[in-house]
Amino acid sequence: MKIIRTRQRPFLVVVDAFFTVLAWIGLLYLLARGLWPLIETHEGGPRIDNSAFEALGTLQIYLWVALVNAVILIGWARYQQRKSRSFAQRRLPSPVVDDEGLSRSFKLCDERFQKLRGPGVMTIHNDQDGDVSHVVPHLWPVQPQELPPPLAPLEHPRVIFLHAEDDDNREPLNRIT
Amino acid sequence: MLDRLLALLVLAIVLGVPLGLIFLVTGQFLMDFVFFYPLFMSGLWISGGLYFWLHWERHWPWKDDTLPPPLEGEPLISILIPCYNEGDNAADTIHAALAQHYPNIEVIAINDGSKDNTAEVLDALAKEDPRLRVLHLAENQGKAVALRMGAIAARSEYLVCIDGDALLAPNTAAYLVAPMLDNARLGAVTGNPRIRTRSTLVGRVQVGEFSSIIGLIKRTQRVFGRIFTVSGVIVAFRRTALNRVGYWSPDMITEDIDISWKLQLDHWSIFYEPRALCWILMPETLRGLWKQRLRWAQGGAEVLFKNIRGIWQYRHRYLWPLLFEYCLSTGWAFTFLLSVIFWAVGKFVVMPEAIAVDHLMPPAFTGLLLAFVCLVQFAVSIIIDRRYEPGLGKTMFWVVWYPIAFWFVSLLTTLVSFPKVLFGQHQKRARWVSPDRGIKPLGDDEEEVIK
Repeated sequence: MKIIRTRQRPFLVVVDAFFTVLAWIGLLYLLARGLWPLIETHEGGPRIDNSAFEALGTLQIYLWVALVNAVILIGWARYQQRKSRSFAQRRLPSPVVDDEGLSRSFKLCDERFQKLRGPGVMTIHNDQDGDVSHVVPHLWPVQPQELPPPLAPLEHPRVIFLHAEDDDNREPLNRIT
Repeated sequence: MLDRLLALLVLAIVLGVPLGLIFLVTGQFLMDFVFFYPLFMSGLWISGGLYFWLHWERHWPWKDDTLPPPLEGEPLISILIPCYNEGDNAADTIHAALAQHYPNIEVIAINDGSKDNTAEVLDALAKEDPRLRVLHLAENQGKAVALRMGAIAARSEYLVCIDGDALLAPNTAAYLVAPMLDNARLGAVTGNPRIRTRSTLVGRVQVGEFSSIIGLIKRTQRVFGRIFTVSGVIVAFRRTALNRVGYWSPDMITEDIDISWKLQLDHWSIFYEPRALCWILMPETLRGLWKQRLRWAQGGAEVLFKNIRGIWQYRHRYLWPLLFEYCLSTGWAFTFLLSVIFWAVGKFVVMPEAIAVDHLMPPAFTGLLLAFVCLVQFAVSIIIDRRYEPGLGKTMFWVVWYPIAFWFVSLLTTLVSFPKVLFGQHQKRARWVSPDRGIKPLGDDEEEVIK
């Protein structure tokens, strides 16, 4: 499959890349800004203080919420799967709409319906409501050069005679030689 | 008149609920919802995507020589291709459709009153292959009517519907129809659209967005059991199911969201089949992207409004979570709007304590979490989707824009589309608009071939 990459002006490519790098920096800044207060420098070295443990507590709450959401979603999915097995109706073959039903749904007479089912190309005229009002099948105008070459007339038409076991009992055919 | 009153009521709810909550609690609650809702949804999509992959997808063989499941009885498959002004793309699309490895297919191209050379292209193609049939609609009727005409002409019970610019992978039709043979109550199977246009930043970001967001959302919804919408660009339907629900509605702006709800309201299931690949063209300019996403948002709002009266019946209860999620997203957009307004007004006027919004940036720890969850989501999507597109990791450099592309575009389109649909004139027929199909390649442009 062909992926389309149209050549862009180099300036625009540089602008795109520049701002995208900035966006990544912004994302990482959000990460760092959140992490930084958790690690407080103390006498030259980093030290995790109480606020870090409080933040971990908050994070734990978020994780629990995410986990509960996931459990509810997956539990619901499994419950539905189990429940659907008990519905015999769901396994029965569904009734298929036939041509008559289709014609009725689209308010079509039989002739128009058959035209719509035809091969090749056709033009459909619709009324104000979008229903079919007229169908015109296209017949290709074939150019003389597109016609297959005519069969040459046989000067001496031939009949192929196949021999059979009981040929001797038959009346003789008038063979054309 | 009743519709107008209902529209007013809906708008009052989406605006009133956040306002009421602010006064009931604090402005901080508003900001918490703005930051935590994307976090919450992201977590849900990651877990849904991972479950789908661990439980089903990773067990499905996927190599160059992997064959799709055999279809019992080799039923005919009809591939419907509605085209409007697709003169440049129709030949490639139809050749890809006719090149399906599954032998028993017919292709029906519906030329929806195109103004360009689509008619001539299709007529020429029809002469080459008898499996192609062409329906010319005398006037432009809209995609829904074009598909309806295709459904009448089709000789098969199984209709694979694609857009005029979509290239099917060789086994896609078989992958889409196989689950319908095994599940009698399966009404539709939606496929896996992959983006071909990657010339600009807008195009490349969408590659990541389709994997990171749309792929994970579809998998999660499949795990849940209800799908908000099939992808109109690549989906297979059972014609009997369509017949029961009255086919596609000609007056809906996004026929795919509407038909998904109609089928599920009639208790037909919808599956997602990630192996049914289809290569599509997408907008590559901000203007094109905006127009497309606005149309999608309008489509969602139209469907919500259309079904708002009937959906509360108990027998439709399985669709309530989808509706709830949609309402939350809409409420989130309006809450964001309110918080920006309160923050901006607060710069000039002293706001009451209850509704004061001091910062629009997420608090440090929440920001950390948002960034972390984004990275996890990228990683999960690469793990799951790389089998369908081996070089996917490279495009992930650009995916950093996805939170903006997805959440901000969703936010803005919701804010614009919602009032537009609620108070706009309801059109009788949704007609085609020529979409932005990316930047066309010239002779010396790079075209990378993916197997």
